[in-house]
Amino acid sequence: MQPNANSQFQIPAGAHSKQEATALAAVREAYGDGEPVAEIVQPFAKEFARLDGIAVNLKLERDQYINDRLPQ
Amino acid sequence: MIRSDFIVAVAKKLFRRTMSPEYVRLSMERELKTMEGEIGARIFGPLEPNERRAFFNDSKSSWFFHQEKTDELKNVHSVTLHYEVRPEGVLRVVNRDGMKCEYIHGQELDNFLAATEIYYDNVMQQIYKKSPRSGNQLAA
Repeated sequence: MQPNANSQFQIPAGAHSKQEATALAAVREAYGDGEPVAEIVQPFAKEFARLDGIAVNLKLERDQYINDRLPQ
Repeated sequence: MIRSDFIVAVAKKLFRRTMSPEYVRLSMERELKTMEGEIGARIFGPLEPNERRAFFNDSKSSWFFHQEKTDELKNVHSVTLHYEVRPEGVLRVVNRDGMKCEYIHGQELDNFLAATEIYYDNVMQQIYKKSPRSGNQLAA
């Protein structure tokens, strides 16, 4: 399979559906696991990790706050 | 600050029965999010007298911004933005004039990321009394 030059930019960064996963697999098949796929996947990875970390920490803090105050 | 034993005692008086721990937990979580939302609202500058605002984290992937303004005729104009954090970006969902979904980018994305950082810092310090960086308890 030879994807055209634009096809790699049409693939969403985080393949989260079967269709997207299939498209990503097709690109991997064509290019291997090297640069092209890495470039597609990375743009929002740092921000996503930070937002995910914030949300997880807030949930932990809320749970701890509540547990400390729940009547035994 | 929230006193769960107070909530339980009042409910017992009012309803003559004890609330389940799960109900108390959900009530406290809701109240915490309301407090967080008030802190989040202040990130966007001072409120006008006819304005209400909230910005808060609701779950692992959901953030909400809500704003209400009352005009001279007492009509309330409101907007609610739901920001859905996904691995590929932040999706803004607006439920006004029909449902609109759009990935945010550029200045709006920068502003959203900055707002979440300020929110986290302020909420950790003001509600949970912890350092947002180390997670250590702040001195009283």
